[in-house]
Amino acid sequence: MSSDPLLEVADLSVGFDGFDGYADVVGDVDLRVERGEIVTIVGETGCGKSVTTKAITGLLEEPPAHVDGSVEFDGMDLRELSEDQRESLNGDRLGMIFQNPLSGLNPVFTIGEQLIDTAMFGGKNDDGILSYFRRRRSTADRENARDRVVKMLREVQMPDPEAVLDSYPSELSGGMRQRALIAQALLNEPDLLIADEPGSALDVTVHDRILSLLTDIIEDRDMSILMITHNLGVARQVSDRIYIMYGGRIVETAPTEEIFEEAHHPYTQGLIASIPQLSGEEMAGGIDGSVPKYTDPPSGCRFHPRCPYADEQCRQSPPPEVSFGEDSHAVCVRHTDDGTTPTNEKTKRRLMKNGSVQTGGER
Amino acid sequence: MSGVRSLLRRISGMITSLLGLSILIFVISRVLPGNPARLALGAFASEEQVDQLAAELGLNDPLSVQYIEYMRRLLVGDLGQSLQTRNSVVQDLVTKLPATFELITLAFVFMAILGIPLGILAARHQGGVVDNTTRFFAFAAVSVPSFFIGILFQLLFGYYLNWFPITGRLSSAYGNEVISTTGFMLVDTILSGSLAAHIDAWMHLVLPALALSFGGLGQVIRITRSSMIDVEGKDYIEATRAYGLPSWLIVNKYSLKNAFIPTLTILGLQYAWLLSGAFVIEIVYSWPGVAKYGVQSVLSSDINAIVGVTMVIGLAFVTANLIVDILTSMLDPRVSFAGDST
Repeated sequence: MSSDPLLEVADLSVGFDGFDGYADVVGDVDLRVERGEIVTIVGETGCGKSVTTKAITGLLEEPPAHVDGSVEFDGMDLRELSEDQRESLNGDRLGMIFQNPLSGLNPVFTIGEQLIDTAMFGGKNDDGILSYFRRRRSTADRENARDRVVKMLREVQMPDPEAVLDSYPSELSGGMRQRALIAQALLNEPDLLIADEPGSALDVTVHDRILSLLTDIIEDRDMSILMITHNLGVARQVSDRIYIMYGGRIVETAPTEEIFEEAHHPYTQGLIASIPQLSGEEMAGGIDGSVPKYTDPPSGCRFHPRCPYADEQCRQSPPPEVSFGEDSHAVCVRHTDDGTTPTNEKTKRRLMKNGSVQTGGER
Repeated sequence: MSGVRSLLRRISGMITSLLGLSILIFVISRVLPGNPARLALGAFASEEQVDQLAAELGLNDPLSVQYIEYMRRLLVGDLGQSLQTRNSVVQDLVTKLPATFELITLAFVFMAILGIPLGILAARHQGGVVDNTTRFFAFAAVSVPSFFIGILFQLLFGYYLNWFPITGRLSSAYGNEVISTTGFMLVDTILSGSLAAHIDAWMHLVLPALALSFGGLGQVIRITRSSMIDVEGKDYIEATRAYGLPSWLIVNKYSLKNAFIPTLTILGLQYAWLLSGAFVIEIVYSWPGVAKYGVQSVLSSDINAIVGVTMVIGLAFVTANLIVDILTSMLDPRVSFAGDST
């Protein structure tokens, strides 16, 4: 691994002021994405994944959000940038694909209008409002942008791109809208693409096609990806390295194969145990309980109310980080004492004993 | 559904509404207390004269006969004779409408060109000076009756500051210079070739139009503000920020088009509401418009004039609605102005 990561997040924390008091959502998040690397953040719905990426891209409104920590992108501290600098970085070097293709496109503009504007004015192309009108009139500029958009739509395998340009989002299928969104995010050739559960709002077959499309496109270019998913299977399919997130904390990280070979954190093990398998083996029905309330999070280790290994120590103090290799860490106290070291097998048995044995995903 | 067919469908709907309105006014105008013939002829007319006029007007006939006669004349565009002015109601309306039209159009323009930018500003800086001022202003505007605002403006801008004339459409000095050809003072003064008179007409127009727009202006600001804030939180706007589009483009193009749709609905309704607001403002500013004519006709039980004025207002309402619906369907591809979803 090189020592010059494209994205390096250190000690990131995010909280929100709300009606129920202060919600401490994300904390102590360290993560990095190397050049050309695909990294996923995996966790249940509501565990702080999207908030983390929004904090990275600067999309959170402060206040009500309180963001702390450092986000370094290619040597620049993103938290220090002015709004203008930020605008020119987003789109140009940082791309983002949104979770829901049905709400990610503006319903009252045609696909062409939105994509051509992104191609012409996304990223560093802001010279003020006068140049907007001048450049909009310039047919050469517009034709050029239009060609880029059509080319990109072809690349994301959009059927009949020319016709799509004149369509409104409501006239396209979910899969086509997702393709349009991917094209929009890639238009200005970002160095880092942040993808928030791409395609997960679509049905399974379309989701699968979108994912393989995305991995194909990435392979063709020199691009890094930070992808969010609640699905370990997806993470395994696409990523080089995985961060497991629970309750707004990174609980474990390791290269993808290592996680599936030997997970160390009971939460990761629980997630793995609840992946349906074709072998017909019995599987754990999932991890009982749900993600913590952020206005009143559990003391000590945030996972303890749902952890099959939890004891007094877990309730009282935050767990230490334990290293298992250069890129492999877990945050769990069970690996430092000489008692029960959690393993995949043990966790699975414990989860099955606790609860129902059923088929179903991690939800 | 093709555009022409939807349009025809909407127009037939409008006609139905106007038909309903005409029946309603017929009933109301016939049950109003007071004998229209007596009021028209004055206190000193003899009983025979009153009876004769009532017979001429058909007021002694059974209601059903009166109704058939009323509808027959309405369909050919004959609104009868005004009992106060003794002119045909249609002729009265034609001479008075332009003054009102001028007034409410300028009030409408004030609402749109002040309301929308102020709403955007208030949304961009929530809790800021513009936001708080316009909030206070909007509440004040709806809770203070418009005649009071009219008088207040007259006192402040007319009497104390002496910036604007207080009443009328034109200073008497220009009375002979300007020939009424269209009835629109701003146009007539130009046609008469007098720039001074044209400016004078503007000066007369600004104050009542501003007073008239006041209530609606607050509403337009607030609705623009809240729909801008609503739209700013949508995924597709957040996405444009992630793509690095400049923020002025996001606000003034992408957010505004979405946020403008609710504002447009309010603006459309306001245009018709301005006509009813004009009833008060025209009296306060001695504006010789159709609203003032309407008030006088109600006070003197001038049934034909009441019908005429009400139909004009009704027509304004349905037309404003149709225009809003057509514009909305142009702005939002998901909306069809025929009223059925696509």
